This record gives sequence, structure tokens and C-alpha cells, in this order.
Amino acid sequence: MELLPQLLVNGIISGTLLAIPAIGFTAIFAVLRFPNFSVASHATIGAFAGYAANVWLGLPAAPALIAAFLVAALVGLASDEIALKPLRPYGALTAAIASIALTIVLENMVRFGFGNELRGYDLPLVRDWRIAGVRVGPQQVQNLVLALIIMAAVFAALKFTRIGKAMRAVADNPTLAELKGIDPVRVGRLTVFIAMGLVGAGGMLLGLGTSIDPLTGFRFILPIFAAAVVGGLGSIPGAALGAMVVGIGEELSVLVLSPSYKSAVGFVAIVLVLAFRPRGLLGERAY
Amino acid sequence: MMFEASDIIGGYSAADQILKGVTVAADAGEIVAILGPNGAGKSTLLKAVTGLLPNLTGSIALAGDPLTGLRPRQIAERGVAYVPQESNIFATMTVRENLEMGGYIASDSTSRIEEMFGRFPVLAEKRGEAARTLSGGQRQILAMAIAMMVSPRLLLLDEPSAGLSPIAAAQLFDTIREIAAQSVCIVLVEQNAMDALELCDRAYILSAGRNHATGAGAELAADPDIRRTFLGG
Repeated sequence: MELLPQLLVNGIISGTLLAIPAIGFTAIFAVLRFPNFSVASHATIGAFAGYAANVWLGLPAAPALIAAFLVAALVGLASDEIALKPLRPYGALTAAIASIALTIVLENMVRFGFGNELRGYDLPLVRDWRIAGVRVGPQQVQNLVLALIIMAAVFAALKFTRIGKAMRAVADNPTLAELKGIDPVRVGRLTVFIAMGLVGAGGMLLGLGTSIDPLTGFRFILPIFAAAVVGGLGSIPGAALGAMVVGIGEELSVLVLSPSYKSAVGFVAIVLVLAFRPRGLLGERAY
Repeated sequence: MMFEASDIIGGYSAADQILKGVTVAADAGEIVAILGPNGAGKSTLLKAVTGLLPNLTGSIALAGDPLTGLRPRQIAERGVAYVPQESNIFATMTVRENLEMGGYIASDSTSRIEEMFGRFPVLAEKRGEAARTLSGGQRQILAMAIAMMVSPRLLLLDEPSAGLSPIAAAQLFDTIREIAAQSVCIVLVEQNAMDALELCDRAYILSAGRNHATGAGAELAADPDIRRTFLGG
């Protein structure tokens, strides 16, 4: 049982980091009404953009995170305009399948450029802190703080800015939003830009704790999807809550299961939510 | 006439022409009701005016300004506000945010929001609450207030009293009269024909996508043929 506090702390940290790409995924679902599985490759692209800024340009983790956001956001916007937007009129399923194809293409472009080997960020070596028997690394705490800042910025933008409110309006009632003069195309583009930026930043945050390779994003697609479904697809606070449930659940599963079965927690969470609360913990509230 | 829609032919697809040549007009400050049996094309006509119908022929104009072929946003910018029958509020947003979105294209929405709170105290009381928590009558008032945020010259209402209690419907009709008194041209579709004829200055009766009859509300309400065929009594 002495493991429990350590696992809880680990779960809270990984849940908070997972919340960033999960918010991106659910925001795209809320506004454009399809599950965009290319978040997997955009998380990878963000992780590699951050790597390039950190290792090649020598930037510390926090400014490198901005590079991760921007590169993933721009690639996300371009790939959406070219590959997914023309297919959206054919339905959510068509767009979702196309997003899987897109993620395979983008992932292999990363592989072509960077190769298959594992890469690690250039981070200062520091001793872990021990607080009341729980071990936590200063880098983990920094990642946690960065993730919380990003989340606070997203919530503030949605709550207080004109364009943030317009995004929520389109997510809530697209026809009425258009009748009121809100341009759905512009809002859609902005959503993809911000959401894929978040996914890219999330990819780097998740990669900072371990190492990265072209499959980094792919490994996180199940927990990201599970977090969004558990919280309620399309609900941004739901994605944050769902990420916490999945993050803590994955860590606690180690108490009863071999760590290699950690990823099953995402599946179990999806099955439980679909069986008992199909609209997710917070329903479809966009904010 | 302030608002004129002439020979409107259209529907949701080229093969499905619900409107087969409808003409309606309304003057500033006038309340005009569109009545008729189910499937007559009443709601479709309102959607045609707001730019939500993809296939359309005929001409629509507001104060001589042509609206045909414009996008919903452009039509809204020219002073047309439309309150759909359902899904006419942003349910997950607060009452105040709903009004902000109503005034998205308006230049000074803050003072307009305060004006709306002054006019509809029930909304002021609930300004910070999510719109989904409002009662049916309050939702219709909010939907109307959202539409009024842009100071429209033409207000289109699709079955505003549907699902409301008689008291809430009567209050809503009073609100509609107050809005018309400010020289706003109001065109409304109503299922409850007798109430609508009492409220309106003039009415058009549609049947199978065509004009069937038109006249003053009281006149149509008194016509035994019209009563029997279209008004259920």
C-alpha cells in the first residue's frame, strides 16, 4: 500500500499532461463533428518539433514547447485544408477514416526525416525530490505547471474572448451561429489550428518524461480518445476530467495488473462509460 | 412595402420543391402571419428568406435591397433576424453570452445587452445561468432577445408559441406587439391559427406551396370557408 501515494501522484501528473491533447481532440469533435485520429501524428510532429528546438537550437523545454505548438498547429491546419476538409461533407465516418490515413502519411514523413531510433530531449540532470515518501522529478513538476498554464489559457480564451465564445457557439448550435453572422469556416480553421497546436504541445509534454520516436503519438491515441469519450465527446472540461480518470486509472492498474496491461485501462474506461453513461461524465457541454 | 418576397419557388433539393410560387409582403411595424396546413411551406418560406435554402428562384428584397442569393450572414447584416422554432438558443452558454452571440455582428453589443435586460427583466435575473436551465417561455423570450440584438428591420418568427402555456403565449404575443410598435416588420408562422389571426394585422394562407388567400386577420377569421378548410372550425 506504500505504493499508492506514489502512483496517485504519477497518475495526476500523467493525467494532466494527457488532458492537453485530449482537449485538442474533443475541441475538433465539438466544432467539426468528427473524431480526428490524425491527432496521433500531430502529437508526434509536436514532439519532434520540440526536440529540434531543444536539441538542435539549444532552447530550454518551455520555449521549445512553443515551437511544438506552432509547428503542429500549422501542419494541422494545412493537412486539414488539403486532406480532411474536402471530405467532411461526405460524413463523419468518411472524415474519421481519412484522418487515420492522414496520420499514417504524416507519421511516415516524420520517420523519413528523423529515422526510427529513440531520441531523448536535452534536459539538465537533476536529482528527484522526495516529499513524504513520494518521489517526484523537478522536470515532472515543470511539465505539470506548463500543462496547467496551457489549460488555464484555453479555458480563459473560451470564457472571455470573442472568438472563444464564437467557437463555443458553433459547437453548441452551428446553424444558429451562422444565422448570427459567425463564419463557420473561419471558426473551423481556428479550432483546428489551436487544437492541433495543443496536441503537438501535449505530444512534447508526454515525450519529455521518456524518449520519442515516430510512434510516440500513436501510443497515446487510445488514452487520448478514452479521455475524450469518458468526459463526453465535445466537452472540453470533460476531456480534462476524462484525462485525469484515465491517467490515474492507468497508474493504479499497476497495483493489480502487470504494467504491460496499462493501456487496457483506456479500453475498459470506454466500455464502462458507453455501458453506463453513453454521453460521458459531463455530457456534451462544450465548455 | 418594406419586405417583399415574390414568386418564391424552392425547397431542400431540386427534386423537392416545397414552395411553388409564393408571394408575401409586409410593411414596417406590421405583423404578418403565415398560416396553412402542415406541409404548406410556411417554415420553408422563412428559411428561404434567411438564406438557409440552397435552391431558390424568385426575388426577395428588404427596403428595395435584394436578398436573393446572399449567405445567411450577409442577410443578417442587412437587418433580417430569424428565430427558428427549435434550437433557437445556445443551450450550453449563459443568457448573457447568448445575447453577445446574438449581437456578434453588431458594433456596440454591450449597451444593447443592457437594453435587452431592461426590456426583459426575466433575462436580467438569469443573466449568468446556462440557457438550458430556462423554462420554455423564457427560452422563447431569450430567442427573441437574441434576434433583437442586431436591431432588425425584419423579424421572422417560426411558431414562437409552440409548446408554451396559454399565459406564456399571451406574454410572448404582447412582446411581439411591442417589437412591431418600434417599426420592425414581423412575419410569423403559427400553428395556432386563431391566436395568430388575432395578433396579426394581415395574414397569408398557404396551401401546397402556393398562396391561397390573403387579407386582414379579422376578415380571414370571419370567413366561414377559410375557417372550415384551414382553421379547423
